[in-house]
Amino acid sequence: MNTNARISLAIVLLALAPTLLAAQETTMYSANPLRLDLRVLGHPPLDVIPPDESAITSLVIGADGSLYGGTSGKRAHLFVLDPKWGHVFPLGHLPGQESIFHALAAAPDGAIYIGTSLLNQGRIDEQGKDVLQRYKGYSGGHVYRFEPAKELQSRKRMQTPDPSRPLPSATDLGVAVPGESIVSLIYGDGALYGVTFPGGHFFVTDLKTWKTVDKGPVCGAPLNEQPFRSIPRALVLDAKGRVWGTGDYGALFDYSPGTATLTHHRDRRIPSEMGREYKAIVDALVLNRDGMIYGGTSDGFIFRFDPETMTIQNLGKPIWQQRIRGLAFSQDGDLWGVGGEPGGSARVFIYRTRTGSFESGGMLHVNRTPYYAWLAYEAESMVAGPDGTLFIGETGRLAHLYVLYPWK
Amino acid sequence: MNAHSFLRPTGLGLLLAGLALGGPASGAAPKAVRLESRTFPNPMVWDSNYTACLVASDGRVYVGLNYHGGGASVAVYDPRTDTMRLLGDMNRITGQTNLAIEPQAKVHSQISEGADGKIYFGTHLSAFYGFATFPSPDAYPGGHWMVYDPKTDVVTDLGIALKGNGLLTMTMDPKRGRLYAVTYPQAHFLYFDLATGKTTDMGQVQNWDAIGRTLAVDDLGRVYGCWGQGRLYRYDPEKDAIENLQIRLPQREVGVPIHRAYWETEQTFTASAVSPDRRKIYFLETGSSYLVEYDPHKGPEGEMKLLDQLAADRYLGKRDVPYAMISFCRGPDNVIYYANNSAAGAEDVTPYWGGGMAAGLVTYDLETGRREDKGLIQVEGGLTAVHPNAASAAPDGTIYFVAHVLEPEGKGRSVSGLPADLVLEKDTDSKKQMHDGRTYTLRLLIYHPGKNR
Repeated sequence: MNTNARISLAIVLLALAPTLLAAQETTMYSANPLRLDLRVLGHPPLDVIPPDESAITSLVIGADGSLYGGTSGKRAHLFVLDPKWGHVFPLGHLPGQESIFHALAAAPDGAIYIGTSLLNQGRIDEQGKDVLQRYKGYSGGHVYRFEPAKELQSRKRMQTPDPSRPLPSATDLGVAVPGESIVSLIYGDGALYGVTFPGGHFFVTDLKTWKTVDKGPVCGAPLNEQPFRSIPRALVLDAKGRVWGTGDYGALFDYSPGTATLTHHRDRRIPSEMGREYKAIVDALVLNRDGMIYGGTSDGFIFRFDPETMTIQNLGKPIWQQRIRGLAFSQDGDLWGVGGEPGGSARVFIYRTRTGSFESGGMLHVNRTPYYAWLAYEAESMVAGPDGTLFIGETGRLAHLYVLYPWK
Repeated sequence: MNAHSFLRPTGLGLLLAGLALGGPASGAAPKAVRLESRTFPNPMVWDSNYTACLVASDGRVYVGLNYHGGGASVAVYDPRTDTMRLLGDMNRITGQTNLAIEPQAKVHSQISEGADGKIYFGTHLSAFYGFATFPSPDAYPGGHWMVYDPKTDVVTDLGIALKGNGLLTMTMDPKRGRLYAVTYPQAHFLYFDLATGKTTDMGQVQNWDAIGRTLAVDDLGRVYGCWGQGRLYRYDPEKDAIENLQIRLPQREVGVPIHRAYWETEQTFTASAVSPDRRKIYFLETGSSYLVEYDPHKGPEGEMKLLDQLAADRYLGKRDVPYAMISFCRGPDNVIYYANNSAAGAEDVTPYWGGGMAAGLVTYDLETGRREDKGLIQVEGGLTAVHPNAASAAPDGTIYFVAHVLEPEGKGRSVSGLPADLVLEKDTDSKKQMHDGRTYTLRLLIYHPGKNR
């Protein structure tokens, strides 16, 4: 090929370049086709919640509309994502605390309540040891009151995030139940409601008097396998202010603040595989606008519970793996969820409430090559923001916050 | 080059236009270096090799052989007798025969020699179908830690390292009696204690698409890998902790790669070597084939020094440097030997690694700082070597590489049938078109510095 021919051919090809590039695929097929993105936990490379401390195990939307996240690992951190800014700002860690597991509660006055626990996700070489060994000498999980407005006011202008600082503007309200971790915490009408591990105690903290009442265990003896005990991983408040959870055999219980009574409904069990009823615990619970409670179970089923008629409907199993790790409603009324087993591969799914059908939402895989890309294998929490954005917290040594825009 | 291949819709147009503008340097035959080669037993079986090549202290050469969809093996070449043998079928040795699960199809990671003279390696998966099967019951059960005892001639399975994960990267600290590995796809950093037989999982260190192919161990037993944008992580056995450091490899902004593996987001080091006292580490950077000297003792995070670029001469200063290969080692003469991806002329660029259908040899003398492009690698009969993927230096100075050798038509395996093991090489039609009729065998290449010309 002579020089003129080469130049001519090159000109033709350059003219065609936009077409050629458009045909080029820059993402692999497993990259999630949904509007899914991710955020690192801070401002990299320096001001991020460090590896081994970043597993996102709690998410909640505060009264100010911001997202608050709690982490687990060598230290437990709190972070915030203000939708106006769209990035994660690490607020600081809780000295001496390992984990905030399903234990962030938002109060109407803007405060965020935090329950802490021992890290229950061990390394391979720690598996098989007696769970209770970890709790020898443990004083118990603390409840903290964090005041975002105070922290924001005290924050210096142009301050970079500092994950190594102790969480400011946080008041330690003390140990909820001595010797017990807090593994679920919600807010309801001037009180906090929580469940502990490994004893499975249900407790109520009156936020006016700061007094905590231990209502005793919601479950029986340990199974000494997975799960260790039939302790729910979630609580939910119904439209009437009652608190719902599950105990042994996945049977529902409720706590009525008016009468201060805990009632077990042993004939109202969440779905499970036959023969595995004794292992069934609730993984996630969320209240719909119509007053129905939707839940996900340890076997990976989705159910709908009507607290008025006390009926449970098994809606099916959207993923082949066990565990439903998070549920949230989109603004158009569909139920979105994330599930998957420890050591597995997290999957997003959608339950279309109008048609009663499931859809697969794919893996938590964001590919923005060549800028960033990440596939999350496990997620532990999910929450809907005020504008309908869904937030999903990855767990693992290097965790990210996933941001899902469920509208098309 | 024909017009048909030129216009295929793969996004290579711009690059090829550039080549057309630049054109081949001249009509002269490119400079070549001739190496000896040996085929492996059952040559039609082995489709590939990555990283796994070790010359042990007794001079014998151990090479990991991959068989996508079947059982991997390790070949042992004895240069004294010029004989080659296999250590058995890893799928059978690990007890997976007839289990109808993904096989132990690769010995992918580095092979190491322990202080006890035993040879340690790990097994790995082959076809990983886009994570969709992970971790279903029929999926890959996990890679095994393995050991071969040359005295007893027995291979022993030391057990699965991490469920569902293959051993992509592995190295050893012989002093501590520890194997270190990074797994695929979850990129967990593991170590295996030989004394206790216990595996410890330190958690994830990278995303699946950017897991480094090698690990480096310094004189203090600290282990180095990359965690993001060429930044190092350091596992310190004294602290039993991984620190993500801020120090990073020198690198250039490569921009959107238009012909390399599109999914590569991250910069890392592809290969590493150490000084005799292990106080200095030499990294081969992925995107530009930069040779970097790292002194882990200078400052809290060590110090990086860019020594040179080891890509073939034709790529120096260019944007389209082929992906760095793992065929990199330091010889006892303190020279770095690197077999790279290169091109003979203006042939099509291979979509997976970049470069054309040729491999070149570049050396760098660590004493004098002299870099030399020795030319394209050829073997007996003037056959062309491509896709070099492993290297190791013998105590007598002989350098061994593992590469594909293009065979005369009809002999060997089909190049277009080369497995796209990550299922990422999407443009399989283009590959077929590009390599139609070409065949290859996997071979051990032997280079005697100062003798081969």
